[in-house]
Formats: sequence, structure tokens, C-alpha cells
Amino acid sequence: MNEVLQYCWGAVLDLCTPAGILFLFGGSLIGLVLGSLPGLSGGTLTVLLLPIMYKIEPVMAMALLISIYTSSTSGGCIGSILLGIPGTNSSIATVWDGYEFTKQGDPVRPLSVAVICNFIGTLPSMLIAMICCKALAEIAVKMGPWEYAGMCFCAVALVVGLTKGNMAKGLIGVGLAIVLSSMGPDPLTGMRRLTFDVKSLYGGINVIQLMLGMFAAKVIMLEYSRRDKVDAAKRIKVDRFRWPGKDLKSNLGNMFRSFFTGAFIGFLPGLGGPTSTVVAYSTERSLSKEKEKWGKGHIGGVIAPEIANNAGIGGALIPMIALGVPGDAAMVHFMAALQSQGINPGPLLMSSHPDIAYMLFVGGIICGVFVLICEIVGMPLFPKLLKIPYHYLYPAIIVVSFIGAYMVKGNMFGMIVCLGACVLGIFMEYFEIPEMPFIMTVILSSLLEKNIRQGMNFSFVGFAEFFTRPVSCIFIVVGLAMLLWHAFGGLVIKALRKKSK
Amino acid sequence: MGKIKKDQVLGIIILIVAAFFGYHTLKLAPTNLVGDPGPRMFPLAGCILMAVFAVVVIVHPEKNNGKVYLTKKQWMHAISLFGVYVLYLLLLWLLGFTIANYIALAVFSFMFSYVTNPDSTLAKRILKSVIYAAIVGTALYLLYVIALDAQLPRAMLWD
Repeated sequence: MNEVLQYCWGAVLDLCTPAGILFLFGGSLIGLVLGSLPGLSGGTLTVLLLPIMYKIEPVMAMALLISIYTSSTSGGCIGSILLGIPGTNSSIATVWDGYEFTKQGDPVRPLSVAVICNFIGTLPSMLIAMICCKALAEIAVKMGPWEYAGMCFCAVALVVGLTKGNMAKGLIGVGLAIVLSSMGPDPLTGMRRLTFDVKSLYGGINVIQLMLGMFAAKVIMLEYSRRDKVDAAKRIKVDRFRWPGKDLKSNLGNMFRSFFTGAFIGFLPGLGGPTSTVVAYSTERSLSKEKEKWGKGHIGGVIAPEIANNAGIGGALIPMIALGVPGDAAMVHFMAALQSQGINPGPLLMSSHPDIAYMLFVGGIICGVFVLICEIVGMPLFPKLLKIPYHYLYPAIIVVSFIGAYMVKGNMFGMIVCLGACVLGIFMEYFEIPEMPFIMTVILSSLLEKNIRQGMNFSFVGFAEFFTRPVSCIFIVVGLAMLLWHAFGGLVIKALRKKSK
Repeated sequence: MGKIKKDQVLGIIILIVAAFFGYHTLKLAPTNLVGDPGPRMFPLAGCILMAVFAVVVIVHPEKNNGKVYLTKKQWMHAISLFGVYVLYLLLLWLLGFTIANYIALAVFSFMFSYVTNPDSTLAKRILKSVIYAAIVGTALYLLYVIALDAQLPRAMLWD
């Protein structure tokens, strides 16, 4: 316990330096603004920052990233409530009831509730993450390549099985990601694979360049072509924050359940905000005594997604820190940032770089408090946030994306990869290939390959060892079960219903 | 014979990609390590996964939901912006970071001003874009060159 307090105090002291204040509070403010803007998100900013992360001290880099992540997750509700357009994907469920209040002329009530719920979601989830990470990392340190391979397989299978849409397309995305990440040196022998004698491919395709193209360059291209930005913010007026004591008191059960839904779904690899908010919303709606009012302006419909959304922050940190598996898309950026500094996330992070791990928890908590104060004080300014002219923002993002892609390896090829990734992103979106299984596999692919091959190398019984070891066997069985359930679960349910009739 | 569905087009493209990478994977030399399945295993697994599920989407395509991803006009806008992306990379290669950035910022800002501010006059738009490029370009120069001392694209023509 003393040790934990010591590291937490160390993180607080780090944040009290000029650099700490700049990164944490600057990151929080920018994240809040970007989170509120439909079409952009904190994720876009973290991707843009990845190429310069190596210039920042790792502890400070994490302070910056966690502040952007936490504040943009909180800020997402502003666009949802005021415009009816979610600022981030995880604020979609907030639109359904939050925007109804604005249409009825009372945006302050859902905004005040959302601001408080964001904080209530963030704080305990960070404390839970702090406790769970240490315990989980101590177990994970004892795992061998078999268990690691099983875990990576399970993570990818969970993402494919739980993402919406066609599973076959999810698996096509996984295959594509495996092939793309196989380009370059073989992780065990260093032998060059699929480089087609192109020198720039000898080192493989860089994840940061891929993400810059798929997330930043593609998003802006689509925003430009769709041209559907509305100027509704000009008409909205928001008064001062109102303490929502009555609303919170009448929704204590909702808050409690939504918190655990958010934290648990956040913990599952690859899911995070969008899923947890929708699950929390639909659960609370089905439990509500006033079902008919939901979707027409029920305050429970704002509380459930906003608590679940922020509870997922701590949940997503747990697998990234303790196991080296990203909990959601934002954690992929965190992992890439750490890897660019030569630090591998995973069970050893807690023992080899505890300062980094505790900075994430402490930074998240302090950022949560800061965002709460900013949102309470600055609530009348919210409509102004939404009026930031896109033609000033997007050109800078495009330039920073391509320059970032160049900086990763210092050659023009990085920019071509970024351009190619932009096309790939559009191709995938057009054919409805889910993005998450693809990006998750790109991140986990080399770890999965290295551990499968090492496991087979160290074993006397070859591949069978993966099934004779209980932990790896459980991971593989859970992963397979998830895939099979997603593929045939509907048929099973149909057959059972038919039988019961 | 009915009209080919979107999923079937995807399946055919993926089959071609899988065949291409599968062919090149099979050309890789096997490993000498005992028990190691070798460098072929993973890319080959990826190709098989792609090929199998490409066949699945060809045989069982989903019904087109009627939702248009982008209209013809929107595709033209997307392609035009992509063209400017390509030109920007060419400029970076030829003129280097500093000059290419100012030009690109002005062009991008001008293009986006048509989306967000369609009622503005041409002269106003050009003036605003130039001022914007001067301010943001200088800010980026200060950030990348002075503060970060980063490795940036150099002009092929004179550096």
C-alpha cells in the first residue's frame, strides 16, 4: 500500500512541474474541445501526436495522452446534447434522450447531469484499474508463450465476435492485417518477408503511419466529401450549470449498474465506449418503469451512457497495462506511443516502469477533476466550442498527419504508406469491413506470431502444448466459442424457440 | 444471371489479394530452427483466412441495404481532395517542408472554405486562406524545426 501511495505521490509531483501542468491541463482542454466537435475526437489528436512522442519524456507523454483521452471522452456529450450529433462514437446513445431536452429548450439539465456522470464514471474506474492492474500483472508475469498466444488469439476472436456486422468480413480484415503486418522482418529469425525488394519495406509497415492514414487523412477526406456540417450551434443558448441532485438521487441504481457495465465492457479487448454506452442504455431502458418516456427526453437516458462511457476508461487501461492487450481503440494509440519510446506495455510495465503506469491512473483522476471544473464553469461557452470553423482545423490536421508519417522513419515512403492507408480505410468502410478487428490484429499480430512459434519451438509435443496448458487452453476455447456463437448462435436460439413453441 | 452484389465484388478482390500474397509467401525459404513452423506460417494463415471468407461472402452475399456510401458528386469531392494529397506529397518531395507547407495550407484552407462558408466571395476566401497559411505555416515551422528539431522532408530540387 505504501508503495502504491509513493508512486501516486511521485506522479502528482511530476504533474506539478511546468511540463506536467502544460501537458495535463493543455491536453485536457484540447481534448475537451476536440471531443465535443462532431467528426473529430481525441483519438484523431493522439494519432497526430504519435510521431512526436519520442521527443517527450515517457511519463509526460502518458500524462498528455491520458488527459486527451479522458477529456475527449467527457466532451463527447456536448455535441450529442446540443446538436444531436455525437462528438465521439461513444456519445451516440446520449443523443437519443439528451438532444430531446435541447429541442424542448432545456439543454442545461442533460448537460449538468452528463458533466457530473462523466466524473462519477471516471474516478472509481481509475481506482479500480489501479488495484486490478497490479494484481493481474503479478499473475501475467508467470505466463509463458503458450498463454500469451492464447490470450492474443482470444482478444482478436472477442473483437471479431463482438463487433457489429458480418463476421466473415471481420475475419477478412483479420487476414488482411496478418498479411500486412507480416511484411518486413520475421519476428523470430529476422528474415525478410513480402518486401518485394523495396528497401523501405525491409523494416515492415509502421503502425503509426497506418493509423495516420486510416484515421486522420481518411476522416478528413470523408468530411470534405460529405459536406454535412450543420450550423445549428448558432441558435443554441446555454445557461449556467445547475446541480442535478434530484436527477442523480432518483437514478442511483441506474448509475451503479451503468458504471459496472461500462467498466466491464471497457475491460474486454476492442470493445469500449460505443458498445458499453448502448448496452447500458438499453439495459436501463428495459428496467425502467417509464419505458415510454425513453427516447423522448428521459434523464436516465443521459445518465446511463455517460457513466458507462467514462467507466470504460479505467476498464480499458487494465488489459493494456497488465497484459499488453489494448482494451479499446484509444489504447492502441497508447501502446503505439509506448512502443515508439522502446517500452513494451504488458505485465512487466508495472515493475519496470511503475512511474508510467501510475501516471496513467493519477493523470486520469486529476484530469477528471479538471474537466469537471472546466465544464461546470464554462458551460455557457459550450455552443461556442461547436462553432470552431472546420476550414481552419482540417488543413492543419492533414499537414500534421503527413509530416508525422514522414517523421516516423524519416523517409517519403512513410507518407506513401499513409496515403495507401487512407485508400485502404475507405475501401474497408465502403465494403463494411469492421475497422477494429483489423487494427487490433495489426497491433497484436507480431506478438501472436512470436509466441505461437516460440511455444512450438520450446515444446516437445508441438502445437498440442497450447491445449495441454490450462490457461492457454481456456483462452483458446473462449475465443473459439465466441466465434462459433457469433456464427451459429442465432440459429441455435431460433431452434430453441421453435422447440419451446 | 443477376447483377453482381457489392459483397461479391469484395470477395473477388480479396481472393486476388490472397492469391498474390499467398504466391509470394510460398516463395519464402523454410526455417532451420527445430520445431519452428517457419516464416511462411503466419502470412500463409492470413492468406487462407482471407481466401476462405472471401468465398463465404461470394457464396452468401448480404443484400445491398440501399444506403449510398457516397453519391457521385461526393466521390468527385473525395477524389479531388485525394488528388491534392498526392500533389502535396510531390511538393514536399520537390520543394521541401517549409515551402510546400505554406502552399498546401493555403490550398486546403481554400478548398474547405467552400464547405463551411459557401456564401463568402472568392477574393475574401483567397485572402483568408493566405493569412491562415502564413500563421499556421509559421506555427508549424516553429514547432517542428525550432522546438522539436525534427527530421523533415528536404527539397529535392536544391537541398
